[in-house]
Amino acid sequence: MTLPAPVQVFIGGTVGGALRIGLDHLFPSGAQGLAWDVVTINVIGSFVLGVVAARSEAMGGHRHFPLIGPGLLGGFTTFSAIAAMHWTAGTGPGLAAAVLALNVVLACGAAAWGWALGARGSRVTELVENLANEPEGVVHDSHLRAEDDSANGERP
Amino acid sequence: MSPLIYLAAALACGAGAVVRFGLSRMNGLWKLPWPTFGANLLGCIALGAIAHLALTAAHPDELLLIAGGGFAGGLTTFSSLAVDAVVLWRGGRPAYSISYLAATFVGGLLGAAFGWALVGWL
Repeated sequence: MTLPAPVQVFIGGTVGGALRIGLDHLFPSGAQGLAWDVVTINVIGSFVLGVVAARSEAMGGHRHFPLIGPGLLGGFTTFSAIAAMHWTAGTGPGLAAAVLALNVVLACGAAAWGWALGARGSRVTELVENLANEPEGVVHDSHLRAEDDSANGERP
Repeated sequence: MSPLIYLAAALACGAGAVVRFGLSRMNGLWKLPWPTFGANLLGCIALGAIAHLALTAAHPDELLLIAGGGFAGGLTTFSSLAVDAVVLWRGGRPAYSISYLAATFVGGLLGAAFGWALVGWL
C-alpha cells in the first residue's frame, strides 16, 4: 500500500521535525547563539538526501520518496533557523551570515558526496545482478580449473 | 519543553513540510527550483516575524518552538537546497547552481530581516 504523497510528507516531516527539535533540545546552542547542532543536522540531512535522490533516480523513482525526501529529510533539515539566527539568538549579523555561508558550502559538499555514493551504489547493485545472472559460468569455470588441477595431479 | 509542546512542534513541522511539498509541485516550470526558494524565503520571513513577536508574547518559548522551530523549520529545508544545487551543477549548469545558492543565501538573510521589521511596522 502506498499512502498519498502529501500524507507521506506530513508523516515524514513530523518525524524529521521531532528528531531535529529533540536534538536541538539536547544540544543547546554554543557561544553567541551559534546553532552548531543545526548546522550538523543540515549537513547530515543533505548527505543522506544526496544518496537517496541519486538512488531513486537510478531506479526510476521510488514510491516512498515523498516520505523520506521532502518529508523526513526536509523536516529534519532547516534553512530558517540558520538564516534568522541574528534575530532569534542575537548572533552578530556578520557572524550569522558567515555561518549560513559555511553551512551552504558544507551541505552542498555533503550532498555531492552523497550523490556520488548513491550513484555508485546502483552500479555496484547492477554488477551484483549481472553476476547473479551468470552464476553457472563462474561455477563451471572454477570446476574446470579444479578438474585441470586434479588432472595435473594424476599425470606424473 | 513539555511532551505536548514537543508533539505540537513536531506536527507543525509536518504541516510546514506539506506546504513546502505543495509549492514544490510547481518545480520544473522554471530553470531554477523557485518553489523551494519561495518556501525558504517565506519560512525566513515567518521566523524573523516570530522572533520579534516573541519579545512581547505571553508564551514566547512555546511560540518559538511550535511556530518557529516547528512550522517555519518544516517549511524551510536545507537538504533540497543542497541537492537541487548539486543536480543543477551535475546537469552542466554550474552558473545556475551558484546563482540559485546565492539567491537563497541573500533572500534568507533579507527575508528574516524583513519579517522582523514587518512586525515593527504593524
